[in-house]
Amino acid sequence: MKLTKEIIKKIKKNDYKTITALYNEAFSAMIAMVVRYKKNEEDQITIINNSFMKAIEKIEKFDLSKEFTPWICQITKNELIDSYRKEKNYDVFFDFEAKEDGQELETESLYDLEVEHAYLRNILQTLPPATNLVFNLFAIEGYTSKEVGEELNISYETVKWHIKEARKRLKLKLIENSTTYKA
Amino acid sequence: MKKEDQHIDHLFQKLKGDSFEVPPVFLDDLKLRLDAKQAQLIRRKRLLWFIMLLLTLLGIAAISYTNSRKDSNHSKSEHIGKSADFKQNESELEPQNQTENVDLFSKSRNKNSTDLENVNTEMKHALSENSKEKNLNVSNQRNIASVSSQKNERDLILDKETNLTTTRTTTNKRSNSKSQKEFSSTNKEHARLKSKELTHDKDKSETTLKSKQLVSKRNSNNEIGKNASDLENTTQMNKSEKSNETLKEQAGLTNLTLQMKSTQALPNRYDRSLAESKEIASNEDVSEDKANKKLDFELQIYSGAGLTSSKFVPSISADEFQSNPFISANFGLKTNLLCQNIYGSAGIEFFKSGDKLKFNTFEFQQVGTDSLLTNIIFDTIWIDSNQFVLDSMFVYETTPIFDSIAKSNTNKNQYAWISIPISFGYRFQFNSWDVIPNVGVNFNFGIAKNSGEYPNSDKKFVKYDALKFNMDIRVQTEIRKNFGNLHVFVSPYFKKNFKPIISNPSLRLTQKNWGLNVGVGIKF
Repeated sequence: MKLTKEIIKKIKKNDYKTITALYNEAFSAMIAMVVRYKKNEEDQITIINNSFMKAIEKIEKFDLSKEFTPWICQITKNELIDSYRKEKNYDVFFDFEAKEDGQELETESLYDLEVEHAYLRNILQTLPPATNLVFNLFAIEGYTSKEVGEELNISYETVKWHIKEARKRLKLKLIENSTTYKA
Repeated sequence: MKKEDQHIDHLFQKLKGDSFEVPPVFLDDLKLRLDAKQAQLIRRKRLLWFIMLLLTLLGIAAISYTNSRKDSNHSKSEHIGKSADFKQNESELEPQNQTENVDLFSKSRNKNSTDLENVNTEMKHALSENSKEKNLNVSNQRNIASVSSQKNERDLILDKETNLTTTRTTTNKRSNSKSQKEFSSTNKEHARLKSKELTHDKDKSETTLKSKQLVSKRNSNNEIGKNASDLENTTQMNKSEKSNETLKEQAGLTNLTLQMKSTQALPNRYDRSLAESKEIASNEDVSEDKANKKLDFELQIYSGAGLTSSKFVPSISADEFQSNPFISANFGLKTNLLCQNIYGSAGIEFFKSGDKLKFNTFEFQQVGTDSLLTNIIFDTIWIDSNQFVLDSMFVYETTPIFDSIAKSNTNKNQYAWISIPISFGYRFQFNSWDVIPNVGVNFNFGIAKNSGEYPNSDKKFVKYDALKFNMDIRVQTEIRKNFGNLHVFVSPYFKKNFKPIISNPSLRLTQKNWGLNVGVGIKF
């Protein structure tokens, strides 16, 4: 659905059909992002619908020469980060105990591993929220460590630690999965 | 190792392009939000209209106030003008009054002479128009005079002569113009006489003067009349002169009569002017009083009770939940400003709002016990007391019986507010009663931790915090009875939230309030 001035007018007038059509189109991209961060359905509804309502309230600011989906995804991403920032214990949210166990996991290449996406989402959600957030931003959204640090207002070391921790935990889960699969 | 890490990252990057169907629950929530947005748009429109209405009212009030001020200034200037007129009248009248006592034609009083000349000019016009009538009047007067002093024969001759001279006067313009030129001097003489007469008894002197003048002139006329038979031309000339004299007489008499009338009319005019001035003064006093009373300050204290009706979006007044009106009290203090009949009010008020939810819960309670077969033992062959052979045994245990019992519960939520009510209206006065319909806005500040508990979709009670600040639109009518500076009043009102007091994606709560306030007030 390419947004035009007429569609924007309809959205401004709160035209239910137009808004629903736009929602259906943007939903897939939004939920794909949100499910990686929030496993609770209520939280997902809140994040997605808050983002979408913000988007249609500020629709006049939308640049018609661009695509709507990346724009709404950016709003959703900001909404997600804000939801973490609203946490009462956000100050200690990213705290970690730097333990060097000195044990590197020797794993085979996981690149070609055929794993269902649902499983991947599940194991991603087993990560602690802070680690999940940092890993998502870094590995999936494509932020650099520095950008993640700036976005979340945390130090570079903290970002690095969470990425490392996420990888370690995910590897373990994947190994468990491959073992089960082979067995 | 680094490569492996990248592999993991890549593995999870696959998740970026996942596609999903929209679950209905997401759409339901979106619909609720859109409905709420629609309601908000409507409220905004209403608020806009209300502000426009308020501004219009304010504008009307300002214009009417400005106009009333202009009117008061205008009435004042008008009064000043009237006073000036009155003074002018007075100044016009004063010299005339003075003429009664002082010489009317003294040179120092040119104004008086001018006035008299004006009167004479008027008289000339009057004479030209009503010359016949005047001649008749004069002849009648002469007749009266002649009855008293002269013989009938002479009167007859005189009448004839007068008629003759009158006809000649009307036909002969030259003689008229001559006679008119001589009017001023004649008038002056008569005026002098009149001024002298005025110092004495007017009626008497006037009559005597008239009679004397008439007698003297008739004597001279008689003498002329005697010689008339001798010289006709001379007589005609004399007659023309006499006609002038007669006209002078007439003019003099008429002038005198008019001046007497004017002097008699003076007190009337003066009285009228005085009455007018008094009236104007009294009007001015009233208008000054009104101007003083234009701005009335009032202080009122009041108290009352109201019913709050709550509206929930989404509606929770389902079968299990029922929302009932909530009765609450309020009290406050306000000051009113009345500019003529335009009413403005501001104050401070404490009030409570709330709601009462009735709902049924189902609790499982033990309603009794029963035996329950818990086991059957197939074992050794038993022989019971009746010598029957048994190969099995049933084991029973006592078990409690539970049933769900409906229980009615009430949940009451209260919100306390300090409010600043501001309203505008118009006063209709009916003797000692006033009716003041007014509209306004309440600025409400939550004074306590206002929160309420309402059921969610799972029928579980969730706590929601109310707004700290909210606004109400208020429509009210004040009916008051005045007792001097004091008054008592009753005031039914209706108010409604501009914004929901709880605005949450899963619950929006708006309240309407009806009530009645009773109070007393004092006017300063």
